Amino acid sequence: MKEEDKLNHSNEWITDAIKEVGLETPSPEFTRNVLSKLAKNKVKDSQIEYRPLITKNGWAFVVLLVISVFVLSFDVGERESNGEQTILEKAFDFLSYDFFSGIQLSDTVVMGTVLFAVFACFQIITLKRFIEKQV
Amino acid sequence: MSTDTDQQLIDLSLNGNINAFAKLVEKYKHMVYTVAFRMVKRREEAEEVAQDTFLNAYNNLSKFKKRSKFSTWLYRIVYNKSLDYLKSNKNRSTLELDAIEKYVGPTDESFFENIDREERKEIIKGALNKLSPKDNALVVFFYFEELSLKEISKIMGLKENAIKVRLFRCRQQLAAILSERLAPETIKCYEGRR
Repeated sequence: MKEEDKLNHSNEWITDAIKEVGLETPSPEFTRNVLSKLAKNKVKDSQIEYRPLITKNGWAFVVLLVISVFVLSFDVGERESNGEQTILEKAFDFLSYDFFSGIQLSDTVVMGTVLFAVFACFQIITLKRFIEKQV
Repeated sequence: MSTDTDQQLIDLSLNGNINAFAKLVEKYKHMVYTVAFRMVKRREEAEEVAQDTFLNAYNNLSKFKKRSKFSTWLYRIVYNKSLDYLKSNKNRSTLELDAIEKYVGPTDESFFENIDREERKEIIKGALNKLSPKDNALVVFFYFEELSLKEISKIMGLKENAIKVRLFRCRQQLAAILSERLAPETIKCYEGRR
């Protein structure tokens, strides 16, 4: 009998040999242990207090800020007609004063930064779905 | 209740029926434990891994997609958990796949009745223990659960061709080990059954 034929022939009896071993048996308390761990986890979960990332006060501040900007924007129209500098213009003048003068960004840098931000957001969504599928 | 399908038990479990989940545990515990034990090779640790598998399954039952069988999903969890355990404990049993000894075929007559059944099982278990954890898992999925290559591929994250090759090499290894350890007469008896 050739070597290859011997190997193929041997593979058939191995199936019977492996099946004869059978499955392993866990301890008699296995199911009870699983259920008791489940019960413990339920108690733990009920004790965990979940806090939101942005609190109610935080949201109130954000809403207030948005409303303020909205209201101030109406003020712009009124002051423009009088030739006065609006509050927002004064604020932006202060913010932009000498901080950004001299800084020049090429179109390539701007486009690169924008694309990087877009792909970063895309990756976050993709990774999140991938990790969820793992479970 | 003996005619409940897995999906019915899953639905009941999701509604908070813990007894339904207990039935799922009872149904699959042997297979899950076997996979864990064959991979981590220690009873207590295998029990721990198997229990964690069911806990994980319960916590993520709502995410179970009905595209695949519940058993396939469950076996994937135990397979990955066993691998995680081995990585974290660096407790691996490795067998170099290239070190396959030359097969020596049986030559003598059958003396099957002279070999104690339990002794024979222990010898075969010892041979299975020599396989790597992944190969052991593959043997369990293919021979005991008789899963298709496609299902095994989903569980182990390997391509079907890779699984075929791995299976072939497992059989070669086992043939090499068992032909040394089992009496030629015993091997002849297995062959005689076919």
